[in-house]
Amino acid sequence: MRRTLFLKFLALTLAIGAVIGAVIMVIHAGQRRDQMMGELSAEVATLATRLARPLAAEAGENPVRARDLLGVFAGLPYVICVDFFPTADGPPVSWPPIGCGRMRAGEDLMIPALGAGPEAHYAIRLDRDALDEIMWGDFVVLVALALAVGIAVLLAAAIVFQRIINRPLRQLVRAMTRFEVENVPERVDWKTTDEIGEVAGRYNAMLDREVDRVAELEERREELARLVDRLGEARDAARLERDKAEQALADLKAAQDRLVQAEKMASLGQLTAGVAHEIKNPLNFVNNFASLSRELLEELQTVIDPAVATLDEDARDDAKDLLETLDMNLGKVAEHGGRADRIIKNMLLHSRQGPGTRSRTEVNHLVEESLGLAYHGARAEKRDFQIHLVKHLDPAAGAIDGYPQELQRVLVNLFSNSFYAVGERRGREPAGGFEPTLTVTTEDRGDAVAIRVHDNGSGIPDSVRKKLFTPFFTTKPPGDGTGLGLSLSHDIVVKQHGGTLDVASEPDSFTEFTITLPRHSAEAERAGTAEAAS
Amino acid sequence: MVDDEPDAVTLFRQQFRKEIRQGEYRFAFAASADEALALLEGTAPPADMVILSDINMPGRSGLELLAEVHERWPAIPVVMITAYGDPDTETRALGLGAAAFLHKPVEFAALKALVRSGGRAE
Repeated sequence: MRRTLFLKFLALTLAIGAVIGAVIMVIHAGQRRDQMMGELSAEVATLATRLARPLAAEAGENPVRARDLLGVFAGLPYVICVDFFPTADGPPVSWPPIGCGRMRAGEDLMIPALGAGPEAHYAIRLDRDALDEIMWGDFVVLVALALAVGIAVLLAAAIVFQRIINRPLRQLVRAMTRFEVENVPERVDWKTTDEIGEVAGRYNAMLDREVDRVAELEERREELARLVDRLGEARDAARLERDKAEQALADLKAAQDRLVQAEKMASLGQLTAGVAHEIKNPLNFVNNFASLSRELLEELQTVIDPAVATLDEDARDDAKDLLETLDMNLGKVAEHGGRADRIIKNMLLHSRQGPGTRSRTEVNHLVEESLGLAYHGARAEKRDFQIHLVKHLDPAAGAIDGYPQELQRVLVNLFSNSFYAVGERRGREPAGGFEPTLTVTTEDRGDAVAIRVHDNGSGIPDSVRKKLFTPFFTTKPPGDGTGLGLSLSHDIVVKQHGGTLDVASEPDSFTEFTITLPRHSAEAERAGTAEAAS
Repeated sequence: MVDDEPDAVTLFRQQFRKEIRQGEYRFAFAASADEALALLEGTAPPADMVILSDINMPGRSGLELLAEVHERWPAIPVVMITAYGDPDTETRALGLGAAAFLHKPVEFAALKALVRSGGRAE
């Protein structure tokens, strides 16, 4: 930009110089030509006047002498030829002898020869080419001079330009660049009163305003950043609150589900208790009368033995057979009555109010004790029962507040189920390929303890899993299970202890029950208080 | 023997058949607490008498009977027999002066031993 401006300035100066030079030269050339012509004409006229008389005297008698006299004109530069006419239409005396020939009007000088007669005159032809040559020489000198002057003027102009325009402009541009690129406000120190000075002053004012505005903007930006920060904090807080609310809602839902389930279980429990009590009384009579009748039958036998002995063999055998059948039938009545009694006892346990005593219970100890009980129970039932027992007991499992007898029932129940499941699988698997294994794990979870009971038995199909904790639901053949074990366990763990009982299983692979028990359970405390109040 | 179930009478009579036949025990049956009290008031109770009473009966309960007998005839031991064997009831019965507390179904061998010792559990 600077260069362009400078070039423009140079071009303008040159153009102006050229025009001025050209005009000067044209005017000067014209004047010079006129001056030279005037001087030459005057010289020629003087000489002509001086020679007029002698020429007029010699022309008639001595033309050669007259021609020699005319030769004086040859001393003058630029004269090509001279014709002297003594009369208006007489022959001229010419120098050189050949003369000028025909006249060239407007080019040849016609000068009257004063003192040689009224008609006498000269016709003189000047060498205009030579004149022009002289003029050209003058012109070249003039141009050279003009150029020198022009260059000097240009140099001066350049210096002036540099001083008054270029330098302040450069300063301005540098200041602008500094501000634009490096963001450094730099005032321009240029205090002239001309336009450049005004531009500099305005630029400085603008810069000041800009600096103020930038400062203000920075302030605004900081305020905005603070606002954005506050907004972010608020958003985070809102998100946290939302998460909390969602969590609370989920907890509430879970609690509601548990309550509904507990309510169902409670009403079912009450119903069960009612039914069980109603059945228990008549069932007691059945059982009592059955065993009593067997005793009576025995007594009867001793009473009638002598009489029977007197009968004939056929009747005796018949009587003996009848008595034995009767005894066997009474035995069946007692056996099935006993079975019904066990079911009812379980049902009553399910719904009873007092869960025993609440105390501090060592979890690992409880697990080992229950496992021993379940194992010996299984051995007592089936002499050839075998299982590989694995225990991973966390030393940090510690103690919980709860009802040890109830928890023992849960664990024994789970272990017994596992024993049953591995037995079932062993019945199906080829011998030797399957090692029944039960793994029990305890785990400290801070304010809760987890107990995992894992077996590699027959597993639980999905269709069964949904009904797993439903009272009276059983997959065992009639007589093997009451369908109350898991339902009861669920009640004890969830309702009594405020814990959870979960199951994971894959058919013919494994089953794992996970019990978690809070170390201090609000629900257990409530149950304890309710018990104390009743 | 106090029980609202008529079959209880039959059951007890059959259980103690031998002893009754041999004249070892005499049985008197009442179907309610009121009937039992009337029986006690009408006849001078023998010295070696033992009352076996159910708890849940229509009208006055076995516990009320127990309380009254204990107050009016403190020498007569009262054995409570019930199907509702919760610890709370047992505590109350023993607190009211019951000589013993038995659960249904009754183990008659134990009952016989108890009656033989005069109603007092050893």
